Amino acid sequence: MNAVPASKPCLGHGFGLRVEHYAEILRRGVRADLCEALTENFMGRGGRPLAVLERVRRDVPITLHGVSLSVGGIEPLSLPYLSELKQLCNRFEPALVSDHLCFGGFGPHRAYDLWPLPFVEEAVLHVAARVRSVQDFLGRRICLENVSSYVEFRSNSLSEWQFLAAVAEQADCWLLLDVNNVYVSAHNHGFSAREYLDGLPRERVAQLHLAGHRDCGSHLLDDHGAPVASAVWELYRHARRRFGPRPTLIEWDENLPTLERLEQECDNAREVERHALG
Amino acid sequence: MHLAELERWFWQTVRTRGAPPSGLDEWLTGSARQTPTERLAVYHVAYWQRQVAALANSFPRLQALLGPQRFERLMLAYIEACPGTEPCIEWCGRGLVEFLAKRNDIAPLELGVARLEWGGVESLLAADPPSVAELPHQLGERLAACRLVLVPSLRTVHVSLESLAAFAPGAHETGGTSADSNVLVAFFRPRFAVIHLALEPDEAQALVLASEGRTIGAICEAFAALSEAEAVTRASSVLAAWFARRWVAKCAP
Repeated sequence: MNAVPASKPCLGHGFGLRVEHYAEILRRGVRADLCEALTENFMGRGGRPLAVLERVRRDVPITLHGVSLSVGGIEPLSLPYLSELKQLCNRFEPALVSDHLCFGGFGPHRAYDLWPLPFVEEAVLHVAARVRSVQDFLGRRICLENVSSYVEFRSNSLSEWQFLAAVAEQADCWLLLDVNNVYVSAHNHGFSAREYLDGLPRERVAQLHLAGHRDCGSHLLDDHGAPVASAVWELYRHARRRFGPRPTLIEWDENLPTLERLEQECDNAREVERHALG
Repeated sequence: MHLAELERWFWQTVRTRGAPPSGLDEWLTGSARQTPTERLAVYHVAYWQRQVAALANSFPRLQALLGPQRFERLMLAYIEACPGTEPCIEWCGRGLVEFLAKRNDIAPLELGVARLEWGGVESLLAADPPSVAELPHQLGERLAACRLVLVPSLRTVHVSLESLAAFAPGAHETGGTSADSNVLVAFFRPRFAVIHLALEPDEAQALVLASEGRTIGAICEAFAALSEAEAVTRASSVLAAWFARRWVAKCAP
């Protein structure tokens, strides 16, 4: 595979583009080092979304973050989807391209969710083969994000971090480490979040996500509907010390704050990094 | 355990209407705070409610017309019957009009409003045209042999005036026309916002001919009921309006 770029970009801090902020972004741009675009929101479309992405891209690098690749699914990879993704890559030259380590439906049908995979060798081999195909098609490495999960399969023979590490090595891909998802899953499944971070290969982590979650009593829910929790900031400090400078994006989808508040959350992440790295 | 078997099971279990079935212990473990069923319920709720919310976003007027409970019942039935295949959830309502049209518990008015709302959604989600044509004054008589390529965001919906009035109350005059009359409504997106326009019958017919790829000369037959002079004036006015509204991506022989 001829991956472009071959090295992990070091880009700073940013946030995900959301429809509610489009008008303001068109008016005054963004105050961030980079922005994340949800891939599916820009596929095959025109109008305001594309205008916003053009505007943002003039000022800062972007990353393309998808939710529909279904890299763990058993149906064939979608050529139309990959073709659209490649077109977006050619047009906007994203610094990073990512999706989730999950499956997203069955057969031709979509779940519109990120369903967890069993942490077993069969899944490692299956996902790694598909990721290699995707990377060959796109001509670049992609990042796989760890999803928050709410079930555990009886068949699991690996820890989640062992599974992630194995997939990344066999697929020769990067990891998008969602620190909030680690925290949520650690709470829901009773493992150590720090052990998770320490178990990931340092050189494979190319990007970080931060987000808020909701305490539902019996479990935590990764709903991207709140500021980053203090415990997640603490875990982020640990991640920074372990993985060094990596582009970090704030995800905030529900109870959406103002653009200024989102930019302030980026500032908070920047400050945590500064303290963590000294 | 094979991956395919697990994924099929997960899909079927999440898509079980109502609560998730029991007996999940074979596949899933419980935690200190939740049973396997309670854990799976997180995905079960998300699957159904996320799509109902997306459909409510695409069809707000239909939801208001039906009321929230009836709307949710119908949307759950739709999701069960027509699981989505598009990557982007905004398209999950693509099959809703066809689904509703086959039911005997949907009034024509409600179906008409759904058609109009989906026309607006399709216009909003459409790709930008590679170019937008301007009225080619220089072609002269050769204009009649030209064909029009219409922009992707231009969508048309054929509905009753009653449905149109329910979709956009007060926005349209029926002018003495019976409420049972049908009208062709055009949805288009000149820049960012979607606009809808109820077309006069002759313009509607002309637009249908244009969509079929007919030449401008053939399109002008839509105005044949008028006198020759009036037809020329009317055709010129309509075509000029199409270009002004940015409906035309290309005009070429």
